[in-house]
Amino acid sequence: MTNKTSFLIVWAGLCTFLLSSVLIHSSILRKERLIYVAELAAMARRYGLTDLCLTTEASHTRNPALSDLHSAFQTHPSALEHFPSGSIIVVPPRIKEAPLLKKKD
Amino acid sequence: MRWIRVQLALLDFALSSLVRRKGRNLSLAAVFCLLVMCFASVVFAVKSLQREAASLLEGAPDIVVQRVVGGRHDLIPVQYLGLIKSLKGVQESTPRVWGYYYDPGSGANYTLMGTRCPDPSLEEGSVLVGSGVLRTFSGLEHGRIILRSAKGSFVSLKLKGTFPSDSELLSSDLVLICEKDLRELFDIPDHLATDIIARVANPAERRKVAEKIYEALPDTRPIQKEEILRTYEAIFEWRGGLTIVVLSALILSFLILAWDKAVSLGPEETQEIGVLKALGWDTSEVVRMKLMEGLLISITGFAVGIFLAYLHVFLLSAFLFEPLLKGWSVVYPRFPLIPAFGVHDLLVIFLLTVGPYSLATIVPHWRTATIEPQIAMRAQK
Amino acid sequence: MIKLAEVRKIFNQGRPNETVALRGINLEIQEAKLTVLKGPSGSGKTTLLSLIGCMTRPTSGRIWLCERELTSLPEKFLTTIRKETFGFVFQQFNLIGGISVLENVTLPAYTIGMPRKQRRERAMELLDRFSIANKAHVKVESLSGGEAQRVAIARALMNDPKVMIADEPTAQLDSALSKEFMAIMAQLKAEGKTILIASHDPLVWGSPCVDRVVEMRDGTILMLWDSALASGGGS
Repeated sequence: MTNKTSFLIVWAGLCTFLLSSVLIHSSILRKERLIYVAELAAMARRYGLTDLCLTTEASHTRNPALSDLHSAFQTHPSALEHFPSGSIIVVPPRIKEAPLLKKKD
Repeated sequence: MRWIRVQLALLDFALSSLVRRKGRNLSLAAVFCLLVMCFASVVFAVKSLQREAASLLEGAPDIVVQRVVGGRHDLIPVQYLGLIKSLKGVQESTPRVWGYYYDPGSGANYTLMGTRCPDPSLEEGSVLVGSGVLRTFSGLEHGRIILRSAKGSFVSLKLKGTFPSDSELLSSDLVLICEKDLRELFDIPDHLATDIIARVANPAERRKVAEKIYEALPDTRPIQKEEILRTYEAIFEWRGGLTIVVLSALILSFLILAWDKAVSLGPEETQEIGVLKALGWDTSEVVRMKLMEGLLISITGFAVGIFLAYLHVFLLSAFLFEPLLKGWSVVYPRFPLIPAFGVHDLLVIFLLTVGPYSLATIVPHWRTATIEPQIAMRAQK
Repeated sequence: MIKLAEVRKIFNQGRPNETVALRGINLEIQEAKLTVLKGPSGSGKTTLLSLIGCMTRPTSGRIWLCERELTSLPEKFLTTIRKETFGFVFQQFNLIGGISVLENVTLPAYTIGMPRKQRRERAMELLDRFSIANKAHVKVESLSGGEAQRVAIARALMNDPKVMIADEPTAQLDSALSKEFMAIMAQLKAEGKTILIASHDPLVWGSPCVDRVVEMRDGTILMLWDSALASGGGS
C-alpha cells in the first residue's frame, strides 16, 4: 500500500516538473530570443521594412503595407494565397535546404 | 480530518483501479496526450508568431502613405513629401523606392528595397541579399546577380554580402539595392517613389496625422503600423483556426471514442460499482472515485502533452504544422519562435481538454452509481 | 431489533414486466439470534434481505432498526447506517477481481475514514482468524470456493457490524465447508451479533445454532419456527 503513496508523490512531482520546466524554460528562451527580435526590429527600422517574409507568393499578403485592409482575404475569404493548397502542401526539401552558394555553370 | 482520510482512500482505490486495466488506461492517456500536444502546439505557435510580428514591426514606419489610382496602388509623387513633413507631429518623412521582382527561373517573388547610397554597407552597382535569395534565385553567377530591367536589358550587380541568416524572417527574400540602380531597373522616374513613410513619435497622434494626410492628399491612402499588425494578427489567428479545423478530425474521433466507451459501461464495471455500493459507498463517493481515475489519466496526458508541445514548437520549430502556419512559398524563411504564452494560456488549454474529458467520464458512472446495488450486481449474472 | 410492517416490494412497477417480490411482510428479527429465511428461489428471500440491509427501499410499508424508522431516511443516512450496522455475504461472494484479497477485505472501511494502517491491521486480523492470512496478497481469482467464502466473511466483518446478512452462502460449497460456515456463524452469534441467512439448504436451516426459521413462498411468509420447534410444527 505504501508504494501507492510513493507512486502518487512521484507522479505529482513529475507532472509539476514537466509543467514548471516548460514555464521556466520559456521565460529564459523568451529573453534570449527577444534580443534577437530587437536586432531585427533595428534592421526593420534601418531599411524601412514593413513586412515579414512569409508567403511571398501571395502578392496580397507579402507586404500587407502594399494592399488595402481586405486584400489579405481578397480572392476568397478562406484563401490567403491563390492556392489554398499552399497550407497543406509541404515545401520540398530542396528549396528549404539548398546549399548557400549556388554556382551556375 | 476524517474527510481527508476518506478522499485519500478513494484515491487509493482509483489508482489500483487504473493499474488493473493498465493497457486501456495507458492508451487513453497517450491519445489524450496527443490531443493536448496538437492543440497546445497550435496555441503556442500562433501566439508566438503574433508576438514576433508585433515585436519585429516595432521598428517599422508609423505611417506608410500610398498613392491610390482607381482603387489600385500607384507610384506617389515625391513632392507630396513637403506637405507631409509640414504636418504637426511628423518627426521625419522619406520616400521609399522598392518593388517586387519575379524570377521565372525559380518561380519566386523577391523584394527589392532601394536605399540611399553611399551606404556604409553598399555602393552603387552592388547589392546585399537575404539567404533565401542565395538559395533559390536563378540568376546568380560568379558573385554577381543578373536582373532583367523593365526596358528588357540585363543588369548585372555585384553580390556585396548577405544578411545574417538569423534575420531570415525579415530578410530572406530581400535584395538591398542602391536607389539609383533600382530606379534604372524598374524604370521609375526621379519625381516618383513607391510610397512615403513617416514617423510620428506619439502613438496618440498617429490617427490624427493619418486623417490629415488623407484630407490634404485625397488620392493617397495612409496606412498605420497598427493596421499592419492587426492584419498579421488576423492572418495567424486564421491560420491557427485552419490548423485546428484540420485537427478537428482527430479531436472529434477522440471525443466520440471517449463518449462511446463512457456511455455504455461494461458489465464488469457495472457489477463493480454495485458491489462498492453494497459495501457502503454512496453515490457521491463512487462518482468521486471515478472522477479521480479520469483526472489521473487526463492530468498525466495534459502535463506530457504540454511538455511535448513545447519541445515541438520551440525546439523543433513546429515542424508538424509549419506549412499550415507559415504558408507555402519558394523562399522559405527559417526562424526561431519566441515563447509568448503564460500560465493563463495553460489554464485555458487545461479547461478545454481536461474539462470535457472529466465530464465524459463522470456522466455514465454517475448514471450507474444511482442504480440500486442489487440490480447493478446482477449485471454480471 | 429489526421490525417490518406491511412491507411490499414491486419491481418495474407500471411496466409490462412488473413483478411483485414481496406482498405485505410483517416480521421481527431478534437481536443476537440466528434467523434463517427458507424458501425456493423466487420466494422473495433475497429481496427481503436487501430491504432489511438498507440496500433498497420498499414500495410500501415500514422498516425499523432499533426503534429507528429507516424507510423515510434519505440515501446518505441509509448508506451510513448500512456501513456501520450491516455486513453482507453475497450469494456469489462478489469479490472484486484483479485486486488482492487484502484490498477486497478492506473495501468497506474505505469510506468510514479508518486510517490505512488500521485498515490493514484489522483486515489481517480477520484473515488470520479464518486461517487465510497467507493469501492476503493473492489475487482473488486464484482462490478456491472455500477460501473465497472466508474472504467474503472477513470482508463482511471489516466494520464490526451488529448484523450479518448472508444470501445463499452455501450454494457453491460442499457439505464440509457448509458445516464450517455454520460453525463460524455460531461463533459470531456467540459474540453477540445478529445473524440473518437466506437459504434453502437443509444443512443451513437444520443447523443446531439456528434460533428461528422463517418459511417463505411467493413473497409471503408461510410460517415461523422457533428453535425449540425447529424440527417441525408451526408457530
